[in-house]
Amino acid sequence: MKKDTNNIDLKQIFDNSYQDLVRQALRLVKNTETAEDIVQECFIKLWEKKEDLKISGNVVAYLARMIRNSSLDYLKKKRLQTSELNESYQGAFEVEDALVTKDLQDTIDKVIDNLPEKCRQVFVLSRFEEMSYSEISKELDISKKTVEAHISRALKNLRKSLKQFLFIFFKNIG
Amino acid sequence: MTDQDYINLITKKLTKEISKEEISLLNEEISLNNENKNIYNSMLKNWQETELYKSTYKANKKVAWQKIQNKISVKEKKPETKVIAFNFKKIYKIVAIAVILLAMTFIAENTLLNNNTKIYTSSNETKNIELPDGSKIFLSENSSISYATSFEQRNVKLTGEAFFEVTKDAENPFTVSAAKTEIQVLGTSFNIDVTNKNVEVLLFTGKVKFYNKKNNSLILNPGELATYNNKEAIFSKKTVKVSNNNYWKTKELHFENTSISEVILSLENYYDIDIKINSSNDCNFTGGFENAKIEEVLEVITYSLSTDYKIENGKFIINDFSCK
Repeated sequence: MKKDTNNIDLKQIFDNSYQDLVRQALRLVKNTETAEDIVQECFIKLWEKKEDLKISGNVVAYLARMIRNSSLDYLKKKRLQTSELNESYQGAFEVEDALVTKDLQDTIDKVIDNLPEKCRQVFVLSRFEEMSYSEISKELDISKKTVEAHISRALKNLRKSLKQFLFIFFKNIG
Repeated sequence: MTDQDYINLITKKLTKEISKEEISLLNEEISLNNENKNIYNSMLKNWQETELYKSTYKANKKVAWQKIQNKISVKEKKPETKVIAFNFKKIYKIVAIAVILLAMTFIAENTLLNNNTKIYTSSNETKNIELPDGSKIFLSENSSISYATSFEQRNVKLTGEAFFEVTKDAENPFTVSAAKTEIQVLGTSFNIDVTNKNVEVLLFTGKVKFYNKKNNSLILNPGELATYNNKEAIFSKKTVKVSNNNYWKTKELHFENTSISEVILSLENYYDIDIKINSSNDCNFTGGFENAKIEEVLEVITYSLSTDYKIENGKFIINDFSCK
């Protein structure tokens, strides 16, 4: 009555990758609890599949893929729930007005979090999931031109909001 | 080139969607004036800085790991529950159907499965089961166990045959309901075989109390086999050689100075075959087999008797022998 053995050491994978994987999910879904749930579910799925899986290579990469898919599924479900009205462009987050913190990390979180939802998703998929325009266009069912427009919009907002940090940065170097 | 065109070009560069022609175009634009150079540099820098997005998140690994462990152990307890995966990639219609199905599974799970966990085996199938309290059950073929999923009281109902290894917990007695009897335990290992006629309990280690609803009872010691006759409602017990009764679980056979006729009887039972002896003698045999094929077993036995065996019409026939 031995416990079935498997060549995946779940605890070790968890210890090494959990935080990074939650950060990955968090960039897509924004909400900490949701991100944690998604990652934990993926670990459980991995555990359930351990017998079917012959992963000799990178288990973490496999997990990352699962997490991306689960996060996208979550976003889709959420989109179905929220009405089209809420999806309309809300305009850029004016960091000049709202910026209280001088912390670059915080500001980046705020700027990206406050991008219009579609724009944010496209940006995250491109920047962090390293998906191509055509992959993103298929995934979100929008044209490649729209993908590009979203990313360039995100970049413009970032540049506008992060101007002061650029200044500080140069001053520090100088 | 308009400002927007220039920014689009930089965007393409950063997202690695830029073509060779566009690269030379971009390089030209960058070197055109200082303002263009600044725009490019700041966008490149911003792009790199976004690496920090959500990087302040610090995980509470202990709590998270505990949650994962809990969910895994819950799933281990409910081996009958099926995981249904829905593909939300499809159109809304399918999502609607999925939601209904999901609701139905949810209701079914809550009303049916959650109360009782039942595990069956069919013929030629055995199962290893770990109960919520850590006790282990090795379920023989054509058997079943059921228990309250919450497992607040350590009680298991058994039909058929099973081997138990019970986790010690003096405050919560472990009971097995078998036909009209119950077996109460305080941490031990034993085998129960329930048939229409009898309930048989064979104890390996520890101590168990074997009783019926009228509170007739029997205390079993290791190595004792107790039998309850369902019809007459009486208990009896005898000391047995523990080893071979557990053959179905261990696939091990041991004989110690056992008469050949008894050995053959055992083999007929365990291997479900017919064996005929063409000899009027009955000698004793000592030896053990592990996971052996019947041919190998007979080979060894007949060799020790200086004889041999043959197969005729699916029947094993041991040729004449005499004891040395």
